[in-house]
Amino acid sequence: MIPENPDDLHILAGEYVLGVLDEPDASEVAGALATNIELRRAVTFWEEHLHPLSELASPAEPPPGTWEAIEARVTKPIPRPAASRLWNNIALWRWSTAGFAAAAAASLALWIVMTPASGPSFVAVLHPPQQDQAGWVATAGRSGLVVRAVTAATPPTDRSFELWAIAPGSTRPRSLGVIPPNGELKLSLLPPDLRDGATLAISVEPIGGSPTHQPTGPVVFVGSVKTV
Amino acid sequence: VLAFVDGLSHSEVAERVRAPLGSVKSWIRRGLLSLRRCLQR
Repeated sequence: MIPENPDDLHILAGEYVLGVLDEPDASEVAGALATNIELRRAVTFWEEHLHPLSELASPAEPPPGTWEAIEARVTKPIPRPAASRLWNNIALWRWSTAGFAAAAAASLALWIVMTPASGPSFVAVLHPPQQDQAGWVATAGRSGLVVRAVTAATPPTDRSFELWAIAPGSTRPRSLGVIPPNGELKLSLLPPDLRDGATLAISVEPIGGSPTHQPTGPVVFVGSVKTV
Repeated sequence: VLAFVDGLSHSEVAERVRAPLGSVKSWIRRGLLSLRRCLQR
């Protein structure tokens, strides 16, 4: 039973994201996500705030054979969704009248709504050069780029952190902006330099960012962008 | 952190810290509630 009280709802969402719920409760939450906007909002809130914590987990090697098992599973033919067959049905289009067109438009709209968002997603973990301790996590996809501090890192007094992207094979960093003092930078558009193999770096710059459009201070965090 | 990073459930956390299941649940709830207040400020 999904609670209506906002505090209870938020706690349930938090428990869901933490992964502490038992199976029946977790699948109830998962099922309600599609229809319950408040619940979805609460789950997103917790995901955004808790996922950077995953960085704290020590890396684990998957058991041998995992990849073969995944491969065996994904190479099975995948049934095409019914809506896209309708879309490709030539006879339907040939005989379509105004009424048919309207119905088809409606099913197309449904098809578009129900097709999961695709497009590449990227992730980068930034750490100080020659060190392993993660300092920042960057995630990027169709909804843009989010860079978040994992550990408390503040620039020296009277300095700002500025984020740079270096396209694969390029040597010229391009500024993605100054990181706000709260340690979180969000860009709603994905910069073109940000793709698999690109480098993200954070340098120390004067307040408000580098005056030369190129890094002037030391690079304190660096990480490479990988497709997920 | 135990629950999230190590992927433990309520009952597994209870076992790990040797505390009653009910207490673990209420600790996590209280934790989430105050964490949310602090994050939303």
